[in-house]
Amino acid sequence: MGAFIIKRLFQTIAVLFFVTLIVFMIIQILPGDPAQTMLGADASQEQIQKLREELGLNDPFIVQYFNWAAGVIGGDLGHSIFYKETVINLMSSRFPITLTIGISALIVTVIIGIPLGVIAAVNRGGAIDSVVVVLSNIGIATPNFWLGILGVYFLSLKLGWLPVQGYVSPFTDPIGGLKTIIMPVLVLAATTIASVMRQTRSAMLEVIHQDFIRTARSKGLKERFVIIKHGLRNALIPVITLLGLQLGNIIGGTVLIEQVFNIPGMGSLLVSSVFMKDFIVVQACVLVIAVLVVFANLFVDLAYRLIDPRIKYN
Amino acid sequence: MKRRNVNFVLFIITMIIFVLTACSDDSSTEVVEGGEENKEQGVTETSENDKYGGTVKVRIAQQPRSFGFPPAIANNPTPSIPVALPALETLGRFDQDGNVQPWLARDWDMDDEAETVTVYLEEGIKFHDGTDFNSEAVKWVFDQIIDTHPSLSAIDSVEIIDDHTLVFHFEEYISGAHINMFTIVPIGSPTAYEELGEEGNWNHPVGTGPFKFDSMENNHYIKFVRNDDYWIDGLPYLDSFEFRIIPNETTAINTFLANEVDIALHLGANSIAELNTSSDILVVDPTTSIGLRGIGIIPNTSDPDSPLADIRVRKAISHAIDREQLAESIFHGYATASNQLTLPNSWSYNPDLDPFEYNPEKAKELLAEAGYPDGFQTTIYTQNVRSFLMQAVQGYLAEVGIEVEVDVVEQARFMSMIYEEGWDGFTEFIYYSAGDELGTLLRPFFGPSPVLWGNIIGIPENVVDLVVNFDLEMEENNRQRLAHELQSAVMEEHHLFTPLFITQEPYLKYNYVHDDGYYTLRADFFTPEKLWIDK
Repeated sequence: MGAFIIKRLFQTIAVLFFVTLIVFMIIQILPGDPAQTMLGADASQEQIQKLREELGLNDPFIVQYFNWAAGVIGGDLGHSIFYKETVINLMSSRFPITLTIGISALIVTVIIGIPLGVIAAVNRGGAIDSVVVVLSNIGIATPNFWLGILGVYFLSLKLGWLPVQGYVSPFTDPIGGLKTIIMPVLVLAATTIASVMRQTRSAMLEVIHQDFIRTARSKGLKERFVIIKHGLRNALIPVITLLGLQLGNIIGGTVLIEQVFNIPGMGSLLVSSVFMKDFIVVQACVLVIAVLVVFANLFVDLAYRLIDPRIKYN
Repeated sequence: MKRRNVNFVLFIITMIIFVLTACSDDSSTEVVEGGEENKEQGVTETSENDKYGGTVKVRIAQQPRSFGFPPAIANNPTPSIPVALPALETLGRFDQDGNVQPWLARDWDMDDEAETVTVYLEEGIKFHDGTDFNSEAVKWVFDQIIDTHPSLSAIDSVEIIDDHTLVFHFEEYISGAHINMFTIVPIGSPTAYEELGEEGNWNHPVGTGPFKFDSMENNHYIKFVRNDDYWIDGLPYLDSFEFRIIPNETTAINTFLANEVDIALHLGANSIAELNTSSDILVVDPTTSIGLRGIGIIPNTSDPDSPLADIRVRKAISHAIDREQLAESIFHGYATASNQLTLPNSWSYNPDLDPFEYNPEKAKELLAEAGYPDGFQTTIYTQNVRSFLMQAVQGYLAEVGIEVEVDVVEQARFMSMIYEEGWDGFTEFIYYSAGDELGTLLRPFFGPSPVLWGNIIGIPENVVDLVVNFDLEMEENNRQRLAHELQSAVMEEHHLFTPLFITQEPYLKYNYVHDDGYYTLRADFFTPEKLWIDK
């Protein structure tokens, strides 16, 4: 297991190198000059050139990349050319927001998706199963942003229950914070809940007709025990795999959700930085997102062993 | 059994749709127009004491690059100025007629040759950090700015006469510089700058304004609190004042309708026109009489082989577009069609010029004369916010045989195109139409050393001369004559661009918000010291 983790960590470094290099290249290729964007319409060519020099934009691409990479290794993610702040500072206030929303969406997905999938499988062909199947189809087919707009219209404008936009930390104001994250979290989780529900249902259907379940029942075990202990545990491997994949979607989804609900998280920082060509911030955001996704997948791989001890890491 | 289940599901879905439909009762009500006097309904006699207290939240579309560091604000006035002005004040202010009135400067004199301006400052004013507002502070601020701001570069030096008197020495009279020195240079505390440094000062204004900077979160909010030591007794009325940065327009409208903000600025005319408001919402036109932002399309004429190098083609394009109809259908009346750089009611408008009325037949004739009877293909480069407008223009040009591709580019690329890369076909052209400052405002485009658009297409010599001469002219009648000649040279002799309209920029506020002090010239200005609410 130790060797497996070390091997994966090396792979992670390679992945991060290529991801950041590709993003760096894309930003360089994109037309537009950050110095011009910063200085505005009235700036003279001399001012623009001076700023380009200060920002190191006149250096060759590869020099710029390695300067940046050396900084990252030394714990310095750089300095935003638009916000005039260190990227670490910018991110320290935004990363927890994105993480709060992302993790909440994941928890909601697990709490709603897995039980509903199990209930649907156990009641296959029944009314509950039909409702779950229809809801999961709707969930998968509905774009997040549309769901967000619909939610704002009914829950905020018509009913006045939840705020339209913004963010209050649930750690400083639990009620206000909860109100601001309910809608973004539900909207973000909608598609993943639907996918997890379907996956759990189909995995459970496969498992509950197998011999060991029949054996468990014939031993006189309670039905709930049979379903959860024997059925669900064996059905969880594909669900965990799916959850791992959905983690990337959730993190990517925060970019859109933060725009719709005007949440000052990393997603909105990434989008505004792309528009301002604040490439240092873009690069740092991509790096953090890549690290999150890579480590989430590593965690998923390790979780297989916890669920199924027969799995060995070679 | 299966049929029962399907029926059950259908029943549930029907019920959900029924409930949602029942909830979505759209009781549209009257839109209350604002206008110059900001008609406010339901205002009863209010005593001075009732005006105190409360917080007003204002939606803005984007975070300013800086709202604390004067040189950065003056160089990038929109949206920096409206966000900075609650805390940082200027020497003078525009009134509703576009005339500069004293503010931190109580008066000024200009010598006959306009080579010097003597400025007398208000006395007894302190910055938020407790230091004195005086000649030394004003000189320090101008010393930081005059070398970096193109329209202030005419100021040669600033001389301190005494604690509250300064003399500004000009290399030459430039009308815009004399206006800009009073209106777009916010005066910040030099001591605060020394303590905080440029970066610390960047988004931390320390000025003399009615509100002190309190806190901010990038791309989220900027908060100010009451300055209890404000130099005008009894002001401001509010306890605090917040800008909410909400880029997405739909989110902004919803936030306003949910009353999470009290004023919503920087909204598209389309969004406002389509809004179902209640009678407690006001649509206000903040436009003053001296001018606004204009929108047009500008061809790259530098390639002699391009059809756009032929003036007949350029004029044909102006005849092919129904500006009046576009102003009504796209801007819902929040724009005035114009065939020139300024509004038809401006003193700088030349009534003798060809109005370039909508006439597709004439456009086709001109195209045929120029050798393009079957039209040609071209591109209009635009930014997302104006893509719908350019698509409408595309439709008009298609009618006369010109096949247009509308290429929507992001801001950074657009800036790069108009600064140095160049473009083929057209780009959108955003210009200032303020008559008084016509020369100064046109300098970056059509002046002697243009930095955008003009540097790519090349500006005819007589246009450059007229821009400069207009700027240097002090006598009123001569200024009008030069303005008319400039309009004639730009629009008739060379037809450098196709003007579409001068836009208004209406905003929304609730009727409990009074005296908000927001107005638009070529930049937005927000002076909320008298702002009060009866919520």
